[in-house]
Amino acid sequence: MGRAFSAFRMIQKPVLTQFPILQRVDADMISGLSLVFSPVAYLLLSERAIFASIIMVFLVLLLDALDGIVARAKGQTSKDGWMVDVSVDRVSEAIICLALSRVFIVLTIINMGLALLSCHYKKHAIIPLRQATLVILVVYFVLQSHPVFFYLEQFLFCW
Amino acid sequence: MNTFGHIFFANLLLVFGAPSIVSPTTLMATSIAAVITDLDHLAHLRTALKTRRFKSETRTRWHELPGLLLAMIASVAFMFFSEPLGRAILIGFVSHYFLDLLTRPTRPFYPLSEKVVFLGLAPRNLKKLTAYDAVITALFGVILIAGLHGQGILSI
Repeated sequence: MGRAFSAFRMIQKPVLTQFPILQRVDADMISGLSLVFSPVAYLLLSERAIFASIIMVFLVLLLDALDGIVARAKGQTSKDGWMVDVSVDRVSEAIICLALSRVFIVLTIINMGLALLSCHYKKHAIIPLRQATLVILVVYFVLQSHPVFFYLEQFLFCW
Repeated sequence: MNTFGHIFFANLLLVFGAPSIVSPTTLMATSIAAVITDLDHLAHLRTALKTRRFKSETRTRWHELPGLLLAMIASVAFMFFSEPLGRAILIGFVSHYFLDLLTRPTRPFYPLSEKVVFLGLAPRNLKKLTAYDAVITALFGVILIAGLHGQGILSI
């Protein structure tokens, strides 16, 4: 695990040399961009454009990961950066869950409570809700002709 | 974001994201939920008139993540009474926090932390910010009118 983590750290520096544009972009701005795409994901989910929503949620998560990579590569990691990241993540989650069932809304509420507790106790504990949503959406997309599809539809979208 | 910007954007999310629940009642509920969070600014109105802006210090805990948490719980509770109305209120609240976090300096974890967060996607200069707000609000307004027209709620 430790080796994998150090290997991950090693690829962070080359990211900046491979994509010079990232050197000029602020990590917080990348977080903001990931937030901008969240309403698009919400609208696509509402339209049941599943493939497009999978791509959009993936893009949101990619930008979310990229801001951390850029911040670490530039040596800008701090508690302030963590706050930007977590607050953007929670609002992004809240926007995406608007198109989903009550289960997801309740999980978003729990996650928001966990974020506040994390800030208070200085220990990071969050449910990876958007990642889980992405996995469920992929399964939903793949199993469209399977009997389980009906239950997934109920779980994801039933109000 | 200004009041009209909040109302237009919240209703945009409602009209395009949940067209099945669009009605005059839900539009009104979304509009109220989208602006009610700004009530805490009223206490600082006199200062804001002088400086021409509401600073992040004028935002209480109900205007940040703890407020959003409470608003979401209230909306879910409302859903047991009326699902469309609860959804509409939730859209209004969430859209408010979304726009504020995107375009204004906020203190998301207040009162746990005083740290001001600004994502840099809107200008800080007052003149530029006013122009930015006006353009975005007009854009939201035009798209909303088109959406309402498309739904048959508004005839132009």
